[in-house]
Amino acid sequence: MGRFGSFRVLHELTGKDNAMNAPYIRRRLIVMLVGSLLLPAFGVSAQDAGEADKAKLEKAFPGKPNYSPYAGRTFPTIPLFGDTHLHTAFSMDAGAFGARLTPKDAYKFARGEEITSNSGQPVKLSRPLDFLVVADHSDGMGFFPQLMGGDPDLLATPQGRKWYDQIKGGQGADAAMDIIVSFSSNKMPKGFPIPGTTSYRNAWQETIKAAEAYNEPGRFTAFIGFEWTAGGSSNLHRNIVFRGNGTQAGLVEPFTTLPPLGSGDPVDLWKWMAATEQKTGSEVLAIAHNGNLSNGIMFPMIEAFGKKLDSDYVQTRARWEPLYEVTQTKGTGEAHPFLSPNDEFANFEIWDKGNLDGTAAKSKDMLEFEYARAALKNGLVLEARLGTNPYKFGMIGSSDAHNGLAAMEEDNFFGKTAPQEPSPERMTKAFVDNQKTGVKIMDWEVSASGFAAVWATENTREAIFDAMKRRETYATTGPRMIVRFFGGWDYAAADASNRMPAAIGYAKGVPMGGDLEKAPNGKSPTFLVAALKDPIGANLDRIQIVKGWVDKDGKTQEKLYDVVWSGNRQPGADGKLPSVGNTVDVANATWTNTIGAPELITVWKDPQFDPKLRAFYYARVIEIPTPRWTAYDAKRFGVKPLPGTTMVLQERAYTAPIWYTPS
Amino acid sequence: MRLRKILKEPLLHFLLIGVVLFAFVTWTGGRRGSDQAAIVVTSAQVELLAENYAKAWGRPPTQAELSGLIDDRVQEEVAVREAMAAGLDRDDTIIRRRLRQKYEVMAEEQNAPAAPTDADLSAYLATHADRFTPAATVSFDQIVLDVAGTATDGERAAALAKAALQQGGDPFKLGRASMLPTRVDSTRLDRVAREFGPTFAERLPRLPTNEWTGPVSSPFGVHLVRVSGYVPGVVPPLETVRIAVAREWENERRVAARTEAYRKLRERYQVMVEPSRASSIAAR
Repeated sequence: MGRFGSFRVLHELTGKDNAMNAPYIRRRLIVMLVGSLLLPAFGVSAQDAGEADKAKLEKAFPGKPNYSPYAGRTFPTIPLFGDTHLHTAFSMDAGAFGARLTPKDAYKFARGEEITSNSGQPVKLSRPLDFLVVADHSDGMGFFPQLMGGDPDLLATPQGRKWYDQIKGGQGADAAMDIIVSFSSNKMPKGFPIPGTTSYRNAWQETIKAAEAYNEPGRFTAFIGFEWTAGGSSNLHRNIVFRGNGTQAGLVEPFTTLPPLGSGDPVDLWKWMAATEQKTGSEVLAIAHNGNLSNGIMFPMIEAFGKKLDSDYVQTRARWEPLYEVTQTKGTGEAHPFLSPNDEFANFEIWDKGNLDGTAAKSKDMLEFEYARAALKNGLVLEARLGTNPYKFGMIGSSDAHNGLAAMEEDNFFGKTAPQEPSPERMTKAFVDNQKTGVKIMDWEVSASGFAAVWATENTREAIFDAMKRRETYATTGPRMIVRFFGGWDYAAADASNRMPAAIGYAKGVPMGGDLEKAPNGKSPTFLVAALKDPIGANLDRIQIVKGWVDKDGKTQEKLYDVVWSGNRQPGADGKLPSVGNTVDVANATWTNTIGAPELITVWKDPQFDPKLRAFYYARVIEIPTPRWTAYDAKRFGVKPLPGTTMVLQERAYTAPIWYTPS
Repeated sequence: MRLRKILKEPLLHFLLIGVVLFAFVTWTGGRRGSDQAAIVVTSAQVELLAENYAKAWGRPPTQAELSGLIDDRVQEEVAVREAMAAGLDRDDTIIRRRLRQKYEVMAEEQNAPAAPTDADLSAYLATHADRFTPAATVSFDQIVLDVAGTATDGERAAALAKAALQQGGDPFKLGRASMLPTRVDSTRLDRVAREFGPTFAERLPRLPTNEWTGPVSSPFGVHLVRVSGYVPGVVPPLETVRIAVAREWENERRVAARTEAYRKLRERYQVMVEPSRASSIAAR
């Protein structure tokens, strides 16, 4: 029944438009009611809850359903869209790249207001976002305002002086790359702001103040947070989100990575998080990202920081990290073609040339410890070995934009950094170019992705945070499709034609992020999956279910199923569904919704279920092909893309998995 | 005549003032009996040095460390005074930048608006009503009709469905199943637009109430709709939006204060920009 197994939910299902499910529901209801009534007889008297008599119970659980099938509905009815990873001028690298927008500007923009971008262009979202976390780098927070203000300590150092002159001389991008490299190699100049200094405290207080000013429960949630940017050149970054308010967050200063005050070891971050909850009374969570740039260390299997993985590590990681940011401007890390050769959609916005700053190239053996699907599989192995699955995460997307603008729509993409705001030049420049390692990433490879979708019961810090903790989330690469995914033992084909699929979903199983246990004898898990296209976006091509498991020899396996698709396509002899087609006119950057479907829904049953084996299932929703941001740029600026530039893409959504654990 | 002209010469005034000043300084300096300038490190400054050290290193400085900090501070003071005497602060971009920043902060603070009164906020709310007025809310039922094809197909399907309803048909057995909610209760129009698309949402306020109407199209297909309630957005009382109004009021005043302060100062200057043909200027 999951946590929404309230009697009220069951009652509404007995309404007339659910007539076909009524016998089932009534049966469950009777069993549960009888169970409740029998409790005192078995000596489990309800002392804590007061005396339980029949009349009281009947009042609490009326036998007659509400006339209104919507009354008492407690489950989330619409997903909230947001960004948990946005940088402003307060981030040292963002500032150096030319960002001038502050956290206040970032919240204004996300709320749907029109503002002026860093490059002086008016910009507005197609629709407001529902929530935003301004997550500036904790190391050197406020560094940039300090540098530009000509802080004497900073400018007394050759590095500080050089950056200042570079930025003043219009070479901000060079300064930014140099700042990133210096930071990654722990070579920041003296005078760099650290927790405890006035400039640091001011920056943190400004961040908190902005969130407090723009947080409007019920309409827009402004979370307080920051990014802990650990790992040197190998990305181990995490975003920290506070559930509580400014007074609570103001009791601490962000955890940094540079010793002696900070640490680059996630284990120390988790200790800081525990201490922070103690000290502030506010819950916190951490969301890792860009495993694809970690060069094989984001999802370790053997050891981390020279220490063998033990039950402590896996438990602590699972405790603090319920989500993983699977798609963003620096690439998508769900699956990799090398790891999933049979997945024709795996090659999507892949960044696999090297580490964060291009100082080390990538080798194939690293990939398994970088991509989400592989981590979900390896997590099952670790769970068998150490008792807890450290990689039991839900998926979200976010921007990681460094210009204060969560503008991730293909036709309204304002880039990752200030120099990448719309201009005729932005498609042809290099983002990272390391001649020593040969790692070169072009600006056109930067991805207009993504957003986090959260099934929260209301738009407040508390409700969204709680939904994140229970992993009831999905990632989108930009569009706002609505995706439902439920798992249980009893979904039937008719549930897919129900007028209230969500009600059936919650009543008969668990939502995305949930768990299945205790397989009933002879039964296989069933899934109710549904997707509605973005109302101003493209139609849907198909929904797939990805299954991962550990076979009886302890080896990880995966399999992809196309479960529902548009049109009358039939899978070929090879089991492959024919392509949906392509209506994109690249030259004009247009497409039509003449192919695909606005809505897809089905019930799917695992045809190869073995109740003795650990497994997970998640849904992937694929849109029909649409123009990539590069196509809009080529058209609007009249520029010719470099050879090899991707101009068309199939946007998508990834749900949090549902896990099956044998008893 | 000539003498009068000389007496009016500003340069002469300047020189005379200089002589007087020189005499005064020499006289007072002589009285102190020393040609050394004083540097006083106040106890407050010493405490601040110790405090900053403790914050950075997590422990208070030792006596030796503190005296090192004080020496450094004195050295800084000497260097700064000598550098300024030598005019090194002029034409330094960093110092200019820093001065500008300080001055602007100061100007903004001086012109910073006092805390707004209720009257200020009420007036602001009245003149920016649209910014604070919530969207209209609407309640409706809807059926997604099973139509694939042309607009005429939509008209026909809608007519058939309406006829069925007039004969007492169950609305929720008509049409096709969809994830879209069949009933929407008192929901803001912008939220409806987020789910059903903007064109659909825009039509709702103009539909008759308590009557099945259609076809109404959306990106998901063709619908029959029965609107049961429509409440236009009204300007909220100040109490319910005070925080938001105060935030916007303050933002606007700060920007205005900064602009105004600059405008006033700018009036004191006559600016001439010489034409330039430097190659570093882009053609467009």
